[in-house]
Amino acid sequence: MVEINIKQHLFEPSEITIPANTKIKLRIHNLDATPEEFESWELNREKVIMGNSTGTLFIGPLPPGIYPFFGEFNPKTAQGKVIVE
Amino acid sequence: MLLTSVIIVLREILEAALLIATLLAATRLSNIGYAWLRVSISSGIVGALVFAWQLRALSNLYNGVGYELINAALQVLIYGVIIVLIALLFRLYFRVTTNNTPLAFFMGFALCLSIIREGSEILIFFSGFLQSTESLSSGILGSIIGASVGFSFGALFYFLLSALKQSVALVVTLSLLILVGAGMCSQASQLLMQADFLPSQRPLWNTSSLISESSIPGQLLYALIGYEATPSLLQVSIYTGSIFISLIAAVVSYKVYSRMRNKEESNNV
Repeated sequence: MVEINIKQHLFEPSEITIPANTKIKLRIHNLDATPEEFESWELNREKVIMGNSTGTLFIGPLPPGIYPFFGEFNPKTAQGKVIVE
Repeated sequence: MLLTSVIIVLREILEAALLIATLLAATRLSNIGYAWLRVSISSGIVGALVFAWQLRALSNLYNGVGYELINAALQVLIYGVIIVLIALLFRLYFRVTTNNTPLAFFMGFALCLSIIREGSEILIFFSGFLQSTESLSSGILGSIIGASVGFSFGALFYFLLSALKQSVALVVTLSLLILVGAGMCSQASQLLMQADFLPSQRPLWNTSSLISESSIPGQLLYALIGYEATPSLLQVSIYTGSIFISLIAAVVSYKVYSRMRNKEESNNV
């Protein structure tokens, strides 16, 4: 399981590394008061996470590569990537 | 904030606007009037408000994947309604009945479900920027631009459909409904993978360098036919399977209603 925080419209950590061909449970804690939408075209994932709450989603198994994700409601600041090795 | 709100509102409005355009084109084929549209849009907006307001509680269901399950259920439901609509359009085409209430009801139902889905996301996005005074005006301006562009695409699409001959329009409308339905099933399967209710698999192909999902053509194709740049085998199977089921429904209703029509005509002779 990997945990990511959203704080002041930033992901922390903004880069996570996961093993290839493995299913991973991602828990995203939105510590801001405002909602955010976790979105990634490359990962085919999209999920609204309300303010001060936690969202759970699953990614993988994935081939090695770099998969960017962003917060759709604050795309300028909320950016990150999943590195699959 | 301006560009962000343009993009978000455009994306959500586009899907609903193209569905409205397709249904309105079907309305022209059927003379059922437009009363269903008012009822459907207003109940859809009420539904979206309730959904957005309750999302926090709903998201926490089933170990935090309630968001995925409810959205997938809405999409599968829209697909089911589309199948009913296909049958009802044939029933109308062969003039088996003059009672168009079921058709109006199911068109309204499909649109209402679509507004709940797309509208709730817009409302949740609004709830975020309404809290900050600095981004309020650019957020509102961006939303107006996004909504205008989305509805313009819908209007353009409606006029294109309206320009077609009636028999051609029926075929095009049916094909669009079948593809929109397949797109719904494909999106639902993706949400179920995200929630780990269906197995995730490696993508079968990658067409993102050809048509990026985030581009305007990509978004239009996504809204119209459920375009996906990196689908998995399961997703492709579900997409083609749902087209196949819709086609069976179309062929069966064509046969049944044309036979009923022929019987009625021979009785009248």
